[in-house]
Amino acid sequence: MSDSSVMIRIGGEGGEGVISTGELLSKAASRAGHSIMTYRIFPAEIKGGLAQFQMRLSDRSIRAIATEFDHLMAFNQEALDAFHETVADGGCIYYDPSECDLEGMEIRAETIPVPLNEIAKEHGGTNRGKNMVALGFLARIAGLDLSVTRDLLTEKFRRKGEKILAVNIACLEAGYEVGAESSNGRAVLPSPPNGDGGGENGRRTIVISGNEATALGAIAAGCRYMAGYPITPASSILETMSRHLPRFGGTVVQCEDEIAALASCLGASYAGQKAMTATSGPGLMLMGELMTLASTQELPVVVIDVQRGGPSTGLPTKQEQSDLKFAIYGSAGEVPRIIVAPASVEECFHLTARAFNLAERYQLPVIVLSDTSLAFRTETIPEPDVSQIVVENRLQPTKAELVGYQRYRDTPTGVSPVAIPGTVGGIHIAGGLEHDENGSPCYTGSNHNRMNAKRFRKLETLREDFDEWVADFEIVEDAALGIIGWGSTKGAIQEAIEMAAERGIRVSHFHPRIVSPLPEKRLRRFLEESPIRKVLVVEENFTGQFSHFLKAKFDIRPVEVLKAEGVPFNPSEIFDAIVKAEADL
Amino acid sequence: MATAAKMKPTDYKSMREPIWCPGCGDFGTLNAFYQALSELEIEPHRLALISGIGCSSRLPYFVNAYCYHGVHGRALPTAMGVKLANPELTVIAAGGDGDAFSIGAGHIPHTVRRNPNITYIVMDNQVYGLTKGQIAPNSPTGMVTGTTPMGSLEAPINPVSMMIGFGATFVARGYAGNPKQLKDLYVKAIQHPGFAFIDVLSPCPTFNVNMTYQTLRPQVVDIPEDHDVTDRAAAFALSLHSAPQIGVFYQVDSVPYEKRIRDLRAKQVEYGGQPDLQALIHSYR
Repeated sequence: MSDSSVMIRIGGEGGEGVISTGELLSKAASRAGHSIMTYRIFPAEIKGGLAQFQMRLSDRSIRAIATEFDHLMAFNQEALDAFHETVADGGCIYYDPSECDLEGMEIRAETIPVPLNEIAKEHGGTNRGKNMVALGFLARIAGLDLSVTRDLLTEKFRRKGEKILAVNIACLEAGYEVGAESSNGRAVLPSPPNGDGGGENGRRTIVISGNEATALGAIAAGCRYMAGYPITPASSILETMSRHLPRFGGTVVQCEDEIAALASCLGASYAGQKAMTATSGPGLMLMGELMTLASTQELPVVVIDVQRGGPSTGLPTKQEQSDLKFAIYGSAGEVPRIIVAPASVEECFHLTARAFNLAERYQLPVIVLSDTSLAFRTETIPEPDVSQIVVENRLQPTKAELVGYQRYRDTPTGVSPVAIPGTVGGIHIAGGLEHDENGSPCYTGSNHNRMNAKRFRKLETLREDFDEWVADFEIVEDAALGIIGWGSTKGAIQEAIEMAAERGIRVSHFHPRIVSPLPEKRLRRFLEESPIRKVLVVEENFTGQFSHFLKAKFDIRPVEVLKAEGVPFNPSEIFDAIVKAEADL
Repeated sequence: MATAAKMKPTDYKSMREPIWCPGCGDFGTLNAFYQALSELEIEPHRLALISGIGCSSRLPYFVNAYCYHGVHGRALPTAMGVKLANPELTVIAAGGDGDAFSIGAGHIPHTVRRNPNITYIVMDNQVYGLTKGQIAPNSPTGMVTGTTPMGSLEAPINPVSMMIGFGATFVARGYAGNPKQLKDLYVKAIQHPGFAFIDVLSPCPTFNVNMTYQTLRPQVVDIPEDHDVTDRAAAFALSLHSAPQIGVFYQVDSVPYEKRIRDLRAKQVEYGGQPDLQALIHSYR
C-alpha cells in the first residue's frame, strides 16, 4: 500500500446510515480530487444486522482494495467487536461511547471516542443525524474541505426541504469540528493538486459502481431494449436501466425468467433494436439454448454476466471468476461468440459500449464477463465523454442487395447485410434450423460446412480488425516472469508487480480485454518475443479455467495462481506468488 | 410490388411448400390465415411471424412475411420483444399445443399480464406430431401413445379455461374444418388491441385417431349468439362444456403494453427532463 493512501471502514447496525455515510464520504473525497475505491460485502440473507462500508482513498490512482484498515468508525459494539482486529498497527478506531464499552477489550489501535448520538441529538432532537456527524468527522480526518462536503449534502437533501437540510448540515458541521480536535489539525491526506470540488478547472470525475457504469455504457452505445430477471449480483443493472432507459425512448422488462429475457431481447434485436440482458452464472446457463440460436440466426445481442461464486447457487454474494469456460464453450453444437472482460469500473462503461459495437458489426452474441467485485465497488473514474463514444450499427442491405435479397449471403467477411422487418424487399426467415443463404432449411453436409465456415469466418474478420484496445500488455525489459490475467484482477496484479519491482523483480503483464477469441498474435509476441521464461496465470477460480484455455492454444506450462475464497486477490498474495516463482526460476 | 389493397390471399404464400402430412388440420389453418391477412390488407413487410418448434411451428415458412423460427417454447417472449421494439409491425406468434402449454407454458400468464398487442395462434391437435406421437399437455386421460402404452395417467389442460383464468383480454376457439369462421376469428384477434389468443382445433390424422375431421365434425358447436363476450364467468363456464365450443369466448377493452410503456417514457421525461446522457453521467459526481 502506498503511503498516501488510507483505508477506512465504517460499521454499524443496518439502517443506521452506515452505507450513506460511506457513499457521501467517497463522493466528497472524489470531488476534492482524491481517487476512491469502495467495496461492500453483503450477507446473503435478508435481514438487518451488521452493515459495513469500506473505502480506500488516495491522492493517487487506486487499482485495488487493501485488507488492513487505517481508520475504523464503529457506530455500535457489534461493529467494534467484529472489526477492531482489522485495523493496522498505528491505525485509529473511533467509537460512540454511548454504544460501545471498551472495558476488557484488547485493542491494539488507538481509540478515540466520538459521541455521535449525543451530538446528533443536540442538533436535531433525535439521533437520526448521527451518520451526518460521522460523515463530518471522517471528512475532517481525511482532510477534506468542509465546503465540498456541505455542497454535496445540499444537493442531496434539497428535495427533502429546508428543515431536514438544516439539521443535516448542522450535524455535519458539528462532526467536522470534533474531527478537527481529534486530528489535532493534521489531515491524513494532503490536499490533491487537481481537486474537482465543483470548480471549473478541476478534472471531471464521477463515482460510480461497475453495474451502474455497465448500464450507462449500454445506453451510450445505443441500447434501447433491456430485459432481465433479478439475480444477485446483476440486479442493479436492470434497476439502473429501469430508472433511466424509458426516458431515452427505450424499453425495460422484468421478465418471468432468464429464458424469456433473452428470448425477448432476440425478438427486439430481430426488429432492429440494440438489446441486452444482464444475469449471473445460473441465469447464463438457462440462456444457453437461446445463445446458440442467436449465433445461428446471426442476431446481435449483448449478455452481461456478472459472475459470482458458484457452482449452482454457490456463494451468491461473493466474488469468483468461474463462468469463463461456460461462456466460451457452453453450447450444444458449435457457435461463434465474443467474450469481453472489463478489468475496472471504467472498463465496465467502455467495454459494454464496445460489446454492442462488436455485436452489431459481426451479428452475434457478445458476453461481457463482469463480476461481483466490479458490480458492487464504486470507483472514481474520469467522466466518460459521450461525444467520444463510437457507435456502430449493423450492416443493412443496399437497394441493389434487396433485389433477390439473401439474408445469409456467404461473404468474404462472413458478415451479411441484415434487413430489418418493415423493409420492403427484405423479407426473410431467421431460423435456428441449418439454412442456406436464403434462410431456407437445408441439411446437406456441404451446406452445413459452408454455413459453419461463414459464421466462424466472422471471428477471423474480427481478429483482422483487432485494434490496440483488445489487450493491455507490458513487456518489461529483462523480465523473466510474465503474468497473464483477465477481468477484475488487473489492479491487484499491477500493484503486485509494482511491489515486486521495488524488490528488484521484473515482471511483464498481459491482460486481454477480448478473452475469446484470444488476441493470439499479441499473446504470441508477449510469450515468444520476450525474455519471459515463466508464466503465471492469475485468476479467481478453483480449476484454472483461463489457464486451461491458454494451454490448449500455446505450448506453455504456467504457474496457476488461483483463489476461490469468495473475495478478490489482495495484491500481496500475488506478490508472494511472484517471489516464489522468481526463487524457482 | 402489389399495393396492400390489391393483395390476394395467394400473395401471402411464400415460395416454400408446406411439409405437413396429407389431411393435416394445419393446411386449413394456414389457408384461413392467408384469407384473414388479405382481408386486413396487411403489407407483408410489416408483418412479423414468430414461432417455436413443432409441426405447426413451421407455419411461418409458408407465409410471405418477416419470419422468425426460434427454439422450442419461446415464441411468446420473442414476439413480445419484436412488438415492443417496433409497435408498427403486426406481430403474430404461432405454434402447437406442446410448444405453448408444455415447454412454453411458463410464459403464458406473464404475456397475458403484460398484454402486448400480439396474436397467438395455437394449432391444437392434442398430440406431439413432430416427434412422432407422444402425449401432449392437453391429451385426454387414458390416451395411448408411444410414451403412454397403457394410456395417459394425467389430466389434460383446458387451454381456453386457462387463458380466461389468467385474464387474457381476447380468447377464442376455431376449427380447421370451419375456415370461414376461423378467418373471421383471426381478423378479430389481429384487430384486438392487446394479447389475443386463438385455440385452433387442428386434426392430426397421423398420430391422433381421436381427433380427426370425422371425429370433430359432429362434436363442435358454435358459441350461442346470445353469449355476452364481456362476461368472464359465463365465458369460463362455456369453456368447460364437454362439446368443444367455437367462436369468441371472451373479449374486453384493453390497453396494450406498448402503450403503457410509451406513457411511462413520457412520465420519466416529465420527472427527469429531456434525455441527456452526458448530464445523467455527470450526476454521478
